[in-house]
Amino acid sequence: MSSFVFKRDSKGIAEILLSDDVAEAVDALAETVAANLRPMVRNLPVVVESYTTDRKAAKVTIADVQGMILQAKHGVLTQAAASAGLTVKAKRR
Amino acid sequence: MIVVFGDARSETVAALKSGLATATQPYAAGVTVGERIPSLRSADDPQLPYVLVAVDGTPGVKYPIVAYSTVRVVVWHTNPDRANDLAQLCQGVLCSSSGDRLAHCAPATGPIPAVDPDGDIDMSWFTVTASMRGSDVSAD
Repeated sequence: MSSFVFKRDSKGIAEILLSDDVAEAVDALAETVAANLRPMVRNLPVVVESYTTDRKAAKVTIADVQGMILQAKHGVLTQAAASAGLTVKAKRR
Repeated sequence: MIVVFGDARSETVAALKSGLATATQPYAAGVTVGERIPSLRSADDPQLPYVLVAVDGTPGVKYPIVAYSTVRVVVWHTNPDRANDLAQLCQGVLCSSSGDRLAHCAPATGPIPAVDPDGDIDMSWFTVTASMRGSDVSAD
């Protein structure tokens, strides 16, 4: 019988998720999503914002009311995310 | 071994057509499932309810086991409640569907309400992640 013990290092995980390296990787992906998105929404403004929760995060927004319809009818955001290699999932609460 | 994956769009369209054909809910009566936004819609003939199925982006493939696709389902209906009810039903049909090619669907986003400015028609849309099984075609 082996005697391995798994101990979750929550503090260490949080440190990594809040690190500059993770912020850089997340921001770069968000910029890729935005770059994929811009040709699909023509001259509507696409905004990338970095923020922090329990981890470094970023959001990509079509800052125009038409953005909602473009996503609903044409899936522009989900296409832009998928083209950046991201899988769209429900946000965990 | 040569492994191919089924088309997520055609498989989910088939699952929705099959599931909705036997649905008894009044908001599902007369529904049409298609892969394109209706181009001949008019105020006299809004062609409601209508369910559009589209695949967003390229599939993520874990060869030769499974391919994941983001499938977007858009419902146009006569009022916002019916649009939401039908979207919920479509989500339920997809997430309970499984077959030789379609392994399963998992809820991703929505349903989210919207109003289509082309004709001022109520909509509701959602996405699921469809997992497609790989099948060996080398012996075909």
